Amino acid sequence: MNDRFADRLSEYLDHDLPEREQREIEAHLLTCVGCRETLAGLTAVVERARSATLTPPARDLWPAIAARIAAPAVDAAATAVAGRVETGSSLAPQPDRAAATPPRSRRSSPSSWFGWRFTLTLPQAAAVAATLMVVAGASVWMALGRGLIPATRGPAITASRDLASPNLASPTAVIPPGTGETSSGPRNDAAVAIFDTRYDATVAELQRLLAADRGRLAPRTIQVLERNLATIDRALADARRAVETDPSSVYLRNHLASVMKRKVDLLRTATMIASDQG
Amino acid sequence: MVNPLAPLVLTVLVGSGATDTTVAVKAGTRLELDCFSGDIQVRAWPRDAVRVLASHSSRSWVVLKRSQGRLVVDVQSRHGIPSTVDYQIMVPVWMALELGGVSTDISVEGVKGQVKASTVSGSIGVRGGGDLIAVESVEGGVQVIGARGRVEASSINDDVEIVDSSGDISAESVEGNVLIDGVDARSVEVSSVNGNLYFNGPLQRGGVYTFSTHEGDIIVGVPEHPNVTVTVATFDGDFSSSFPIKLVQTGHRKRQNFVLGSGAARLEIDAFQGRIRLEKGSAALKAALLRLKAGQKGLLEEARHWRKEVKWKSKHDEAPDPKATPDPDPNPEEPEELENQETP
Repeated sequence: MNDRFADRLSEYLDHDLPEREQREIEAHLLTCVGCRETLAGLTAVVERARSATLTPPARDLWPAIAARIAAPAVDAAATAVAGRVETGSSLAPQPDRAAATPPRSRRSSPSSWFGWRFTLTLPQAAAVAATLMVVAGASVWMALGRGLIPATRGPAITASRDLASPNLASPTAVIPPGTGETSSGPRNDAAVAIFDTRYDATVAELQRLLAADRGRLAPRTIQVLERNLATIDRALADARRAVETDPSSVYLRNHLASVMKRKVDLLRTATMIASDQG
Repeated sequence: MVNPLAPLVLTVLVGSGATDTTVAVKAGTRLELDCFSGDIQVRAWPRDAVRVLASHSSRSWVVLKRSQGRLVVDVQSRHGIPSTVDYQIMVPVWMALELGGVSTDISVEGVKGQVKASTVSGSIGVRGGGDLIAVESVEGGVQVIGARGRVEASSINDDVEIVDSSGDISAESVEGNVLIDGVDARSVEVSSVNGNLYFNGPLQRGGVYTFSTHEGDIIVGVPEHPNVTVTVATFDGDFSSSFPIKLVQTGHRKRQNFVLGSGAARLEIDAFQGRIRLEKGSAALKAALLRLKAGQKGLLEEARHWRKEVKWKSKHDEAPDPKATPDPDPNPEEPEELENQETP
């Protein structure tokens, strides 16, 4: 298997390559078993994401979910403290235990964050295969070209996993009958809504943690962080508006995703700093 | 004074406002230092020893602790209140460093080992460093010069500058500019939200170079005979080049591809509502860099003029020739805004 081709299979699948490269890969696929298998795997991921089954809930799960959204606050704070004790210095790498966990080193690429960018390298594809259902919501969003605004939020959309732990497996989206549907269908809305809910929950949690520790930060640092958060929020608003004007644009959705990630990164950094100064 | 028999566990240096001590260290020892407030200056010297000079309050004392390949320098005070300390530290060239602070400026010079440094309200400067150079500040600027290894640099509020280095690069800012000049890297990933991005360096065969900013402008210098596949994307900005190119649309709007030479490197540039400029020639790049450093914003104020040099063609006009070199157009077309080149 040739990495030069394998690295572009996801884009090939998305028809996101110039025509010449599409043809080049088609020709290569005729002779390369490895790439054919990889492509088959990627295709299966997309198909399964598209056909993710959505089951009406047997009961209202929202109260339990709401409790679980709140729960990581304790974990995150504990992890932050543990990180300080374990490493003794602010740049030691930390495992990404939860989205709300302030990392010591916050390096990440757009494609590694919630693992949801649709253009995948081989390792990312492997990660997608392993955590198919985690990606499903975002993949549907990316693949089917839906806008970001879910039809419903909060209690109307429920999920059976910890919403603040993006690395954990298997969200099972469920939509109460009669809610959360738009003209584009409930499945897409559910996937989008789950992702949005996860994101909103993560941001809200980080903001709560930061607000609690705000007094530990110097006034100028608070001012700088707020200014930079405002900058990101403006960028977020721009990006959301752009997606609304062209929901099918992969570029715009990727851009929006990168800005969303940026906000979480900044909040995580700010939370970590505040925690360190306690 | 070198103290090769320094206790393995703890050396407490009770200071009267100043500390000056030297301890021998074994190869492979890492220096760790956290300083709440003050300066940290680390310089390499040709000895297998660490000299710590510290200026601090008479109510504080410096503690050196050795364990498991680490030499930890700390300051303690009588009432546990964090105090201001100015450090000047000499270390072996090979020594790895892990430095942290809050209101702390950090500078490192001459080491060839790993350098990790973080601060909240100070700036960071590293001259040298090897293996991994990871530096981050919230409020202050970050500068890395002459690194030999992977560089991970970020500042939330200020500029990031990486110069004359070799090794992969990851650099980011929110409000600040990011300048990468004279860097030889196979992987470069640079982003900002509100800042400008500048890159000048060779584009290696198989290398991947990505630049992304929301509101800033991007200037990328390309070699005289580039071999690179370029993707430019913008929502509300524009794109220009100092040399003629033929744009080919992908299946997606907002994004354009073109191939220069063999296309062996990959260059991905995304300026959501800023301007993208590809530039050949050291003089123009130097001028752009100086403008960026001097004016910060308005980096591409001459873009309107530059765009007239660019030849714009969609894939409907002509398929790209991957081996084609830039094609000077005797009858350049009036350039269009990128967003106007969308397919239906």
